[in-house]
Amino acid sequence: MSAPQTYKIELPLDRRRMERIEKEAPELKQYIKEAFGGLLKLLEVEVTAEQWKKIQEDFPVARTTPHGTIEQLPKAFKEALFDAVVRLKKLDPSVIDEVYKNIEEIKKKAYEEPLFK
Amino acid sequence: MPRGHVAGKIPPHGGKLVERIVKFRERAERMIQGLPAYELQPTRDPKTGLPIRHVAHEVVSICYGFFSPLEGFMTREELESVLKERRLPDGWLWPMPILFDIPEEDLKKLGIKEGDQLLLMVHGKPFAVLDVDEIYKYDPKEIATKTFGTKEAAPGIVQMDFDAKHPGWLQYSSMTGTFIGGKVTLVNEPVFEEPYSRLWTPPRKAREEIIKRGWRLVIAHQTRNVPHVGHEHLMKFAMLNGDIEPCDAVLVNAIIGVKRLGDYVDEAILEGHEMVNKAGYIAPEHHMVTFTLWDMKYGHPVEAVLHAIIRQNMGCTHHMFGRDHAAVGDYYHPYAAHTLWKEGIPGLGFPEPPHETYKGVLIKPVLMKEILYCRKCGELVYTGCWCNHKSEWSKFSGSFIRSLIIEGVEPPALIMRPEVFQVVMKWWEKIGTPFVNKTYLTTRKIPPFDLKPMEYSPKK
Repeated sequence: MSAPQTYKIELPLDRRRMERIEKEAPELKQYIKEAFGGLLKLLEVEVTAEQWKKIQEDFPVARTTPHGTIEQLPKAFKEALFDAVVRLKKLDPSVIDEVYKNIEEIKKKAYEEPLFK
Repeated sequence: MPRGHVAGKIPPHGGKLVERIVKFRERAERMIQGLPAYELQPTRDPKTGLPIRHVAHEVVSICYGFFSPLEGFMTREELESVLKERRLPDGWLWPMPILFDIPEEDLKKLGIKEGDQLLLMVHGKPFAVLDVDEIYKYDPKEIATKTFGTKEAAPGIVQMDFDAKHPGWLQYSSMTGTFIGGKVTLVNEPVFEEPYSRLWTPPRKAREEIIKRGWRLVIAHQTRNVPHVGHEHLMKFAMLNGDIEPCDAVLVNAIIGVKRLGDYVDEAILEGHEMVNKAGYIAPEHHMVTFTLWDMKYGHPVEAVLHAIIRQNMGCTHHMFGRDHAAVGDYYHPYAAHTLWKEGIPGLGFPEPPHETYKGVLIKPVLMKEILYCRKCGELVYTGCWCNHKSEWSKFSGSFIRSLIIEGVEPPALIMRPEVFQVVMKWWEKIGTPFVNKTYLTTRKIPPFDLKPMEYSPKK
């Protein structure tokens, strides 16, 4: 099995995030995926190999699964990503570029999280 | 036809359980007087300075017999034999180097030579005596590469060249290149704090406990994770393998040592597994949690053999091996360990399966695929032989669950038992993190035990 060419980030949708989608970006509802019999709801954001490289440099603790899912990202990054998804109403790699506009601020917040201290 | 081995009584690897512990304090104190003393230091990542290994873990595992038949650190002959044939010079199968490295300048300062003894200190107290049988040099990078294999030698099994991002390759390649080979003897037994203390079950004790509990067949479960429901069911399904009846119990053996950033902290791993039986998800009379001190090398098929040896030495009759056993990243094929146990991997130095070879292991491998949730079946299913509703499957992923926890989302009970999740939260509150971070790596006591003071006069 070789390394995947494209990657994704899963955004779990709790009640708070579901409410924001309902209010601010209902067009995203069609892309919601369910796992574990609907107990978990998720949105998947596409990430290019180049973007994954940058993410890995900024957050070395992040890992990918054999299926190309990027995991163990800081909460600050995921919150910013969800904000961008709702704002742009998109799930393609342009959302990651949007997040990267504020990456220094996100990194500052992330380094206060337990995993990154 | 014989029924096979019985748990607790299965012969240790090499035929004899090694125990190199001086139990009598006076004798131990006599033994150490006048010896040159050397405080053990962790091996560090040359780039970050973070600890990546502590040789004291290996001293404990040798002296209590987890690594039987090893009685000490490898000499050059032993190292070369293992790197070339995955065997000790006397023929017993052995998968990876166990080495005592020392900086050249420390060796000079100590002024020791072959034939001397060295007193190893931990936390400033006498710990063990190392017989300096041989001092030799060896290229650490060559050791690292030969240990884990190459794409060319094992195509399809090794998928990527090993590099410093691989924690095991980094451990070996960061060694000093100067090694001492010789037997090691513990003169001061480790004193653990909770939760380690109540779960400390070295091989002799594990064997006694297994016999006391009347278990005939015991399957070992390797772990470095807080268990999710997928792990729990993997244990339950694997237990169904046995001989004429299922195994009586599962022995969970956590690998405790220096870990990767992002792994769960050891305390949460141990208590999380304990909670599986405390909360009754597996009855306590069928489940025992233990640990081994070892800095994971993430050597997947190679490490699988070491795990089999350790658990055979602890008295287990069976050992489960799943997808990505002791693996990290995409260095090996996800089912490389299965190939090893089914047909051997000649390119890694295992021409036959380790349990079907001369002087190989006696423990029976149980090869497990994945447990996942099938929406259509409405239950947890085993991918090896059950349902075919692939589009309805949800896979368990430890790192996905860690991602949920980081985001403050409590995993549904179908994914992680609430009692186990509470253990993770408890340790988050207690030590400020549920995951290994830089602070944990630099402030945690390594090795994770204390030693009692001993009378000792250094060399004059």
